[in-house]
Amino acid sequence: MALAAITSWELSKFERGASLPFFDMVVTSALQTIKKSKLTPRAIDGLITIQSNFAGPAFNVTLAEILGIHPSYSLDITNYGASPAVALWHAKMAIEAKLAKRILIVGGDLTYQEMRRQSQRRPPAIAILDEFELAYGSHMANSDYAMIAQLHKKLYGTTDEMRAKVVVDQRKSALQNERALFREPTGIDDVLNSRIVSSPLHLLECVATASGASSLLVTEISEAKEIATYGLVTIEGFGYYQGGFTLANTELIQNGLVSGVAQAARGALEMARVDISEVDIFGVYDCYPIAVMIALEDLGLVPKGEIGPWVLENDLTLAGQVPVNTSGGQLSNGQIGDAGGMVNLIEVVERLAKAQNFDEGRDFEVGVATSNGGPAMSCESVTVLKAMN
Amino acid sequence: MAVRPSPNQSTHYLPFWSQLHQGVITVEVCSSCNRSLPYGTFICQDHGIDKVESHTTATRGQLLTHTTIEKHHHPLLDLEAPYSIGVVKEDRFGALIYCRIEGEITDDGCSIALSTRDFGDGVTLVVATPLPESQTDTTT
Repeated sequence: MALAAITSWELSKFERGASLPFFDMVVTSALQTIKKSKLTPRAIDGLITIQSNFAGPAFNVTLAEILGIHPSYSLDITNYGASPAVALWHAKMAIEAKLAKRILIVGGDLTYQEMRRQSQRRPPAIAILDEFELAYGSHMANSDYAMIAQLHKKLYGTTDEMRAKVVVDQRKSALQNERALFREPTGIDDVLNSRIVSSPLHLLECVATASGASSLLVTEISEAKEIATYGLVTIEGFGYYQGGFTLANTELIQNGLVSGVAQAARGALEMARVDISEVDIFGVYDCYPIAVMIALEDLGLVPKGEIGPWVLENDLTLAGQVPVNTSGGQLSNGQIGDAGGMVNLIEVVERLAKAQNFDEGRDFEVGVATSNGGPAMSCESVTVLKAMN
Repeated sequence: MAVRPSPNQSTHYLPFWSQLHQGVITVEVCSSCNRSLPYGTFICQDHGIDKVESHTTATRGQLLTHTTIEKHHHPLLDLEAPYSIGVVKEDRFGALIYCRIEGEITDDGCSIALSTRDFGDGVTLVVATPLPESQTDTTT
């Protein structure tokens, strides 16, 4: 029985030139389609864009920002001419999987001549930052997370020392990881004595960029049983939430610093039929310790505002009750661009897989990995993984 | 020769930048629901694009958060360091405005005055100035 259907569509006037700027053209078409189905943009909870030479990378993130929507499912499909068909298939799958109810598929481009005329200086999502933040002298993510940390301090009394403890525990874990870029024993004073990059953030709170690569193989269960090196790990739940991209457009700045992790976690945990108390190990996207702290709150592990004292009281290494980023995370391994979150994901996968074959000192059965995209906790995901015993 | 970074002005927001250059801060507001649109957004989530109008913001607001930057990799911004930037909620529509802060910040949450400043090279930006407590009860 079909679980999804097409309800409306719109083709704009095609031109050799372009009578509208690119994004005005795309937004007009999107609005027409939404209107034909008697909906408003607010009702749209899924967005799939079709790769556009003009829009460049992350067209979906840019367009969501312009439309002012916050989808729970968002993709940019990059299969060239097959993209519309692939987009439609993804929409069907996502609706059947209950990841979204109303998914808007949007594509568009300009002739090369128009593209030169309307050229953007930067990829569009970054261009929004260029327009409203960077000329003020922002350090982009460093400054945005600094203001998030400053707000956490103001609202909940979270001190520099509390944030530093996250770095200290992760560096302690990195001592056991030969691949880690930073393996020096690090104390709270080392963090607090490192220079201020953007107040209140210190240098050792900021992830270092790095060169590298990472990969994962996913196969059918029957095949996986034959070829897996360690125990199998299954993907049991997934949730996504895309909030505003710029700091001044993020909900968290006005909602008490509740990030998109909260919504993504609800979906992912429900899908996996897992309670947060059952999770044995966490891989939490750690571009900055404040991001880890907010994510742990929003996963439901610690009540909002109480993460600071909790971090001081708990050991985040494998020796503690709630292990977080046990290979040192990105703060110790470095960040390989947009693939940086693979570190946190693989940390969890590896522990779950190896725990089935080797003595990890404890029994890991359920793990959670989170990821952040954008400069201010804009694109959030939560993945629930299980060891297949 | 280094040029100070300037806002990448999109076609849609050219009127905003033009007004800002004249010393007027505007925000797009949906006249159906009176909500301001975040900068970068073109439409109202509930009422589409037809009722979106440009309005002048209040000249007062509240600082929500801020950061101070001691050093910047861009040589001309580095010459301006140390400086503070922050996010202000203006009083008329509740619009959140990213801005440069000039003056001593006594507290996140303090009242501020909003204005504009020419930073050279044709770059005009929003500036927030913390107000002394004696001036914080003035209506906008």
